[in-house]
Amino acid sequence: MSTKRRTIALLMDYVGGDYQSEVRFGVERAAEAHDVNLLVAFGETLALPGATDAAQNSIYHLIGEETVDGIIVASATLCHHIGIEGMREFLRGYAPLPVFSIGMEIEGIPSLTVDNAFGIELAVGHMVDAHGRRRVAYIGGPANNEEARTRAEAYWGALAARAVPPDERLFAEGAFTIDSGRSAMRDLLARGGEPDAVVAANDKMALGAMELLKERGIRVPQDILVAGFDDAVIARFSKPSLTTVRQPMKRLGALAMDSMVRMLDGKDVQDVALLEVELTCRESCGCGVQASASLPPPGTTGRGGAALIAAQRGSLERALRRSVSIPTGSLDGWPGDLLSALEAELTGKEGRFLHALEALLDAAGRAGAILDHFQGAIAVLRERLHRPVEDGGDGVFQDALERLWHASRIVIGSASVRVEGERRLNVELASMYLSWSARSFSTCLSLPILKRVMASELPALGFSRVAVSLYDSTHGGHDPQQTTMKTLFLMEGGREVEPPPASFPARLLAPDGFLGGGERTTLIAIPVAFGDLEKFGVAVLNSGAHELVYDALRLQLGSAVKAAALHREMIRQVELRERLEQERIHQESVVAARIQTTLVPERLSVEGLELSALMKPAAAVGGDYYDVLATAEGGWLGIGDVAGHGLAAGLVMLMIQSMVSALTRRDPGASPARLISAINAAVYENVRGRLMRDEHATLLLLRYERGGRVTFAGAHDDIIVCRARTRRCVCIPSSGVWIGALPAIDAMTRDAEFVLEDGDVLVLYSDGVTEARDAHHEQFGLERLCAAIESAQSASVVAIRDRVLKEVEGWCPSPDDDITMVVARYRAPRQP
Amino acid sequence: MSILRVEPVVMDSFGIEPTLRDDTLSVKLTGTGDMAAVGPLGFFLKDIQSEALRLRVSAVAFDVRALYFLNSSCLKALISFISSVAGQGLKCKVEFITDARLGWQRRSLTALERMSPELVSIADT
Repeated sequence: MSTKRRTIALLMDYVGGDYQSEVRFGVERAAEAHDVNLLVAFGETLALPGATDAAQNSIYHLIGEETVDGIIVASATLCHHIGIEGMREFLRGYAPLPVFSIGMEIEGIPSLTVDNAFGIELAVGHMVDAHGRRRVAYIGGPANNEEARTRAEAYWGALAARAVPPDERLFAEGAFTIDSGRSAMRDLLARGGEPDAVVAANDKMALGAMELLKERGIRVPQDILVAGFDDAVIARFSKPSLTTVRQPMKRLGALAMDSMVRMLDGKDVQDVALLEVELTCRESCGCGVQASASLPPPGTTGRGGAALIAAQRGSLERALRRSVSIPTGSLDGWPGDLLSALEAELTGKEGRFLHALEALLDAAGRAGAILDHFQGAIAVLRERLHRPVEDGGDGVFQDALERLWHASRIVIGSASVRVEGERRLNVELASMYLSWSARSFSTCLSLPILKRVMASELPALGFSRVAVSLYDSTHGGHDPQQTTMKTLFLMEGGREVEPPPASFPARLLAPDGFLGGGERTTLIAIPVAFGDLEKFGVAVLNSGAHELVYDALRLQLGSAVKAAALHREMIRQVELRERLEQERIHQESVVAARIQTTLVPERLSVEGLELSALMKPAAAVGGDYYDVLATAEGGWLGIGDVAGHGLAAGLVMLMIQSMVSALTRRDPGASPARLISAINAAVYENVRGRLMRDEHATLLLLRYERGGRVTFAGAHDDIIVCRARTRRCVCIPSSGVWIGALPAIDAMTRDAEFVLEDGDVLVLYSDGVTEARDAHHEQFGLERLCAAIESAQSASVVAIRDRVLKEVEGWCPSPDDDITMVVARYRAPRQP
Repeated sequence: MSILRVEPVVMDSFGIEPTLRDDTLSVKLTGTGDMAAVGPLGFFLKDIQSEALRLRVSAVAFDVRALYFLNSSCLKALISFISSVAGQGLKCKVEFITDARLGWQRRSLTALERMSPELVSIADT
């Protein structure tokens, strides 16, 4: 029966920092060696007590026994704000899961720290003992950081042990960053304590201090010596290279994982374990390259190669081991193997040593060692095996050795350059892919687009297994127990697959089956969040991508989800506004239709005319007008169409109707042209000057006299008269201009007239009739209208009207303009 | 050389193609000027008005021979254009190249010509 593979979580603030990167490397390699799954969760440093938990920290609260068997916490990276008490509370929250702390000693929690005090003792001691400095200044870390406090105390202790008088002016505090190192150095110089050496509690602050010293023209190491702590990668490449306390960070991670596995096996682990540190002397303290400064002196004598080695094998192995730091335990026997190869080489098996060295460099490179350190190992061998001829050494043998050392240095140099080059290339590639992906992510305006971008970009960034899940919108507030998520995007084997539709508890981090499959895995869990307060979900990704990518992706994913959410909200608002606008337009249309239809004359009664009329407003009301007004001498007929649609058109139509009604009532025998001109002036002023709009209208006014004479003016569609005598329609065009478009139209508005004879049918209509279009966009047209009138001319005016309407509606079932018609049959007065 | 800074309008059933020839800005209207065309035509005419001003053209010629239909709202946009041209005191004529067989053109454009005879002219083909 097989047991389920264990899963261990590693919690830290970032994955990209020097310390974080090295510790994670160590933990990851040890997880491989122990065949346990690793889940690295990272967010930010823990928030200040009382402050709202940073959204990024949500990831820590989701880690629990549902997904892991034990938790390793890189406490030193999380504690800056909350201090040791806060860390203790935080770690106890994971009970009953076993918890292991790296970098911080916490009561009741097994922990592993480097020997911080000893490291500072080494650095300060070196400045005083080896370089004779008496004014050694110190730049410490944040007060709440336990490691920083231990290191600061050790500074005072190291001075006291050497009877160097303490001076507060020589002590400054930073925040483990380059900038804070600069400002601390500025303070130290300003205080007038005249430091002749500076030890900083980490490398970044030391580098910041060196930058400031350089700006001030103070030379390192000629005028002042500088040392750091950590031996970060950059320490080797600074100018001058930085003397620093080498913290075996990878080893720290590996040992933490070893201890966690022991805890899970029920074995004892030390409450607090200290890991030894050593001083790496480089240029900034004036020592330069000093590969074997701390080696014991050669102690054996003897002649000949193999014998020379055999005589001091134990001591040589120790010296070699000290010269190179191999992070994980996988290469423990390397000094012995290398010495055996050297013995074989010296007994005539040529090429064995270089072959073994190359294999060793290859394996050490994979284990994350700094290959340049092997130059130190060659220096040890050269020093120990060198016998000058004057001391009885074999000249030929020594020459052969020198050639071997020379070849070895070349092999190490090129391997080292290759590894650095690969590393650099990987950084460049990662940066390039990231800048590409950033462009794509920054233009994601919806979640479906984000999914497409992830499917296309993530494989290029080195991802093949990814689950991005978002909190359900109704998730249970801040209680991680209640929160549920749904997977947005799932990738397996480099291909996007359909995510399961169901929600799952957020504490599972990913959909069922994603974590802990058949093969051992290392997965990285990152919060999908925007800023400190908005948390959207969790992304779980395979390890192996460049570490730059994880930090960048965390920001890009968070921003993309935020952008999609903002965009969604924007669209919602726009849709809402559009709906309201449509609703407003609809309401206006209802009002306009009411104005238009309620103002039509109720009864059509003019002496001598049989009348029927019709107004059928379209959905978007068009502002048609007609009126029939009886007078003592006959009557007035009016028809018009306000250009444009909606309430404004309705209002203009209302104005026209009122004015026509008032003016004809006052002067029933007025000239139509004069009425039209008067109405135009009023409409122009009202619409342009007061409503600030630009509506205009067609308007035709006809003054009918009982004797059959019709005087008309204005501009509108042709008047149709179906002559009883000929049974044919005659079209009479109007000759005026629209009203409302010009301030005065008197000059271009003239009266015209025609005479009706008994039985003639007069038809007025709006363009909704003639311009009604069929499915092929062909208009009903004047000819069809005339034909319809002619064919129905003998029928009643109601029947003529309905015949025309039927034909128009048959032509165009849903007209988009109002249909208006007035049909009048003239009956001449009976001769007495 | 002056370059026209106004984009053509291309819709399924309506189109506007502006070109600049010497000091005449030609605008070819095609298709059906119904409700869908009202917005695009309105915006286009506003743009073309500023172009006429910028380029100091002597005439804007609307070729409407292939414009099958123009509803009253579209006509309103044309009237507003002509009113603005007149209001700005531009020394710019507006010419319509029409097809006498299309009823709306005779009806509507003749009224336009009557409205501003000194500005608007109609050329029948």
